[in-house]
Amino acid sequence: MSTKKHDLDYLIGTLPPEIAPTTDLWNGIKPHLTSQKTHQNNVVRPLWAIAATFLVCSLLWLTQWRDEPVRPQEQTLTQVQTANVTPATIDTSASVEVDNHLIELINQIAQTHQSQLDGFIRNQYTVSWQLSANNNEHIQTDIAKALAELESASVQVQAALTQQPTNQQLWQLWRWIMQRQITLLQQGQKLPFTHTRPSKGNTL
Amino acid sequence: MSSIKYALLAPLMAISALTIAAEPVDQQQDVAANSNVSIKVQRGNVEFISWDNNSIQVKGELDELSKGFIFDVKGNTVVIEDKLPRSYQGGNKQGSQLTIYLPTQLSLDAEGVSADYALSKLSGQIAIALVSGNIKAKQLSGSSKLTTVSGNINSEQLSGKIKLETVSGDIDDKDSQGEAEFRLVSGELDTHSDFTQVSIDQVSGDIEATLNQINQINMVTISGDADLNLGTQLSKGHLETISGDLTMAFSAAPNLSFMIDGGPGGRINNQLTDDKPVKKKYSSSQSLQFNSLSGDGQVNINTISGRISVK
Repeated sequence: MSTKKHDLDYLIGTLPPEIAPTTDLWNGIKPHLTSQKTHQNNVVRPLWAIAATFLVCSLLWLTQWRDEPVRPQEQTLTQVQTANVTPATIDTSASVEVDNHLIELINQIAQTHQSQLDGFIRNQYTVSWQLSANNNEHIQTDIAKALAELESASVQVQAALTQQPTNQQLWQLWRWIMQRQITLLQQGQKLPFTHTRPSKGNTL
Repeated sequence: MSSIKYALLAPLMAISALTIAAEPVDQQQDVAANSNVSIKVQRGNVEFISWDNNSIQVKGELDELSKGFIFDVKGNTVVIEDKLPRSYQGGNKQGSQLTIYLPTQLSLDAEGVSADYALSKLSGQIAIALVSGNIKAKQLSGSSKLTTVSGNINSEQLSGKIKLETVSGDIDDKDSQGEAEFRLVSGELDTHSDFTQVSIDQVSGDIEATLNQINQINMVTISGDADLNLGTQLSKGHLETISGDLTMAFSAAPNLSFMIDGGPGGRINNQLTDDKPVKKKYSSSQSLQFNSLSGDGQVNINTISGRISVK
């Protein structure tokens, strides 16, 4: 029994610290991808054109024709305001539109990034250090704390960005935080701690 | 019977203690000028000392869990590593205790986990990356990038291009010069240096900076407060705070044009001139544009709900 356990420990010890294929798989994958792409191109192109036209029409409908009915009193007020409209207000409405698109982009980036993080976290074996809340390993807790802080920071910056979507410095800060999260998870994979699987499920 | 048992066990215990004792190391090898030196020590203490020889010497004790010491020199590349098992239990016990003598001019890339690194009087491309270890750096020149996750960074008399990054640790810098980039999440930044260009990215920690020779400053902070004491040479500034307070104090009247946007919940306090903030139409936002002296330089400050003070 002990020999078997020893063998298992030895085999675990021989595993690479990072999950990576032993041979370069790209050479095998590439021809399949390119052949599929050329084959599907003719079918996909019209679909894209239809989708793009639909998107443009929807956006036009949303921005131009989807005005709510205006009551008579409000209508006169709107007319007065329209008469006094200045280039500055036109700029404002244009910038609001740009802001809305940017906010959508921010949400999309946040979702993509979250799915990337989930990809790491789903693989609980490689990030088992993160699951050991009761473990006294201070480095593990340091990393878990840093990840929690980065996550909270990312939420704060994302909220700030939705208020100021054209703020370049905030974008840079957000990008750095997201990069740091990924780097930290990668560092976690390489850490030389005994990977212990939780006996009662995750304690995240 | 039991006394005989103990008598037999005692030497065995002594032998086992000896086998896990730290192994001393003292190796020296000649290296090419401007070598690329890569160093990996996971835990313990590592001190880098520069000398005028074209050789590297490693002295001290290896980690008690050491699986071997690597010191390879191949052409321009040097690899030094205290190799540990690929998995082990136990936190930062004593670890490696190493002093590494290096040529002053080099390209150094060092990484560790919980090891504390101290380095001084080195020049070239220097990169240190740790997880929970602390970094102490003194008199580095060239390009220095010091990164730690939860450790602290203490820097002194650095010059050239400097990048200091930490997530939850603090950065304490003094008497440095050149161009600096600081990035922190929850740690505190304290810098008293003669940088000409500074960029600070901060999330929730506070910033305390005295920058008497500053020419250009970029700063963004989310909820942390920033207290900046600046010289009069400032010509360009872009400062953003979301909910944190910002105080900019100048040693004398600066030659700057200020554009301050107080945002929906922010407040502006100008003690540099008699100009008062103006409330925007249809909103509670305050803004203020004014010139100090002839207003040659330009400073933009934005906030959402922070308090901005210039004096």
